[in-house]
Amino acid sequence: MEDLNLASKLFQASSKLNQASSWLVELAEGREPDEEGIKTLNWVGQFISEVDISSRLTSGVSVGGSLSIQATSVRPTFYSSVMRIAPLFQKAGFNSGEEIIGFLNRLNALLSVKGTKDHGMSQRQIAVYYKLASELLKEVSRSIMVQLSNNGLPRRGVLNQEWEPSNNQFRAAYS
Amino acid sequence: MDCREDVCRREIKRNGLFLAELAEEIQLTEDFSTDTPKKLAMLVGETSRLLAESISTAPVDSLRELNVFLSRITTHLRYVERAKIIQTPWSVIRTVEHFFKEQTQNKADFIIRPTWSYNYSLIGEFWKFYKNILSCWSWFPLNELKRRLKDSANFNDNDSIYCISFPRTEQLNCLLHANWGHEVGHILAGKWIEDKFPILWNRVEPVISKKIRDSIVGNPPPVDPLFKDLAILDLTATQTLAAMEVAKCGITELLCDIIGVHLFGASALCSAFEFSSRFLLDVSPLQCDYYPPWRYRIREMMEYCKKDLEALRAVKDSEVFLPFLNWLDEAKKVASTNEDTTEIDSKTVTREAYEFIRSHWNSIKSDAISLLPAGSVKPYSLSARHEIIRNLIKRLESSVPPNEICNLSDSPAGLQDIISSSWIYKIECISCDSSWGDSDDFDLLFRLVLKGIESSQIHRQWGSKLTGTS
Repeated sequence: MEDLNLASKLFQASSKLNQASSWLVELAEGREPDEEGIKTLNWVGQFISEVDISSRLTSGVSVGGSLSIQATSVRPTFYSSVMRIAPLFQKAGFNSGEEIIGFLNRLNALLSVKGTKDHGMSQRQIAVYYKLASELLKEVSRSIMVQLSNNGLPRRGVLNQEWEPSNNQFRAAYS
Repeated sequence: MDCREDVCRREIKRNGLFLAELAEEIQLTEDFSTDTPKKLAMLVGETSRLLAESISTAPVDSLRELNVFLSRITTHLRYVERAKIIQTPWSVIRTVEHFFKEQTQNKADFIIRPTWSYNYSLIGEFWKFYKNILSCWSWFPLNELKRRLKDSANFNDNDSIYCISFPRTEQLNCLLHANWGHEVGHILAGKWIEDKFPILWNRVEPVISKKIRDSIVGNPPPVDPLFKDLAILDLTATQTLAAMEVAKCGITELLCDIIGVHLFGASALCSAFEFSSRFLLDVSPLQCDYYPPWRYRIREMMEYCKKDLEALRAVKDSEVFLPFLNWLDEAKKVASTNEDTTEIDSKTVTREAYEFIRSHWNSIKSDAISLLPAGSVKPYSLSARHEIIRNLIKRLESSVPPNEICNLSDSPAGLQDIISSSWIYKIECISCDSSWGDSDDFDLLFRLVLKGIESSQIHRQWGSKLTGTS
């Protein structure tokens, strides 16, 4: 059975990630989000903390509910997106896996407006973080949308394979 | 976005308006057994028209999303087109849709259409899919769409539409259509999955994820040490997702099987057994879209109607049922070995997922059954209805449609009784005459059953009025 419910929920997640990505660019340039923007950023923050298994392993906190199912579905896409934008991490000065994982763990706080103010980071540093987070969210959003639409191209595989990451460098290396 | 923005906006608008016209044309020019296909066409049409009308207010960021959505809903018109009278067993569609509506407490409408792939499936729910996506866009006037739907077709916000597909080559084979019970089960199973699965899964996922992680750490992937930790996270995520899908799909399919047997009795088991006879019994869920192995499914269905079949053997004058019961005994032997569970237990992902299913199975089953309307909470029982079924078999033996309990009675036969009697009659024919089963034999049986279902529906709907007139 084609799961229209899951498809619509993943569509929602992609759309919100895309909106949050745009808001992060605004934040990096010093503009404040409106009420809708704050709501979106908070939702995405919660969602990412559910998706990122490394932060869940650290905090042990889960928001639960249907968000956890969406999160489990998006998780492989999330990590393959991190891999795909690895050059941007390196350019921003992240030189080890631990540093990248540290960044991912701080994403939730970064996405909450209050969190960024209490970060103890310089404005310049925060702007770099925002831009990097924006790129990551945009990449995840784009990947989900490509999985949903196959970018307008005919599908070779069956529908259920659409949730598998199609461009994962690491999987390609060791599979 | 660059100059492509204008092109994209213009093309999506043109496409949306064309889709709206197409949907309208289908509603006006095609014939359907019920109004449900037209209802879906109207939903597609009104949605695409309003999207086209509102596209000038859509931000650039939404254009690609909009295109993905429009492409998706365009394909929904194929369900409408395939439900045309000429392509369906039109004489039974009303009865079947009525039966399905009863099981969903009149909350859902159904399109029943053939598909060229040899399979049964349920797709939906459509309106919820539309609402979920359209509500992502603050620029889209969702309330205006609801108003238009209400005005043009009395379509309410809590209405829902599903599409049930059946293999085109089995158009007339109402016996195999007992599989429809499984498909309608998807609605209840879907509800259970949506409401209860996240809660249960959320409790066990950290434990399962840790077991998977430990097995990966014990045998780490050969990658650049700089990214080793990320690679372990990535693999853990992928395998945890697979475990969740195995558990979710396993519960869904097993529940649907049980609901099928609950509604149609042993006929549903016979359909699944016959359908699966052309496939392998013990394929891992990881190799076939997370579906449980057939042997596992048949075993569970067998278990669910075991007591009813034992009771049927014990009824007075049970001779007419014996070939059927003996045939099912043979099927039972297939389910009694454990190659399927050996396959499941051989991999961490499937073992953990099925451990989860096994530990919650009884409560899952009773939760899902309780979602049925009060009139269907009790399972359909062959042994309780053996007298009625015996009468219907007698009619089939005389090449008379099994549409009523006895001649000129006020009791039109029920859908489940007609299908049950035809299964028992078919197995009786096969066991008594090894040459039975050429195309004429099947054709006669299928047409008698179709006619029986159609006549019983007419009888039920118009019988009292006709009597009154006469």
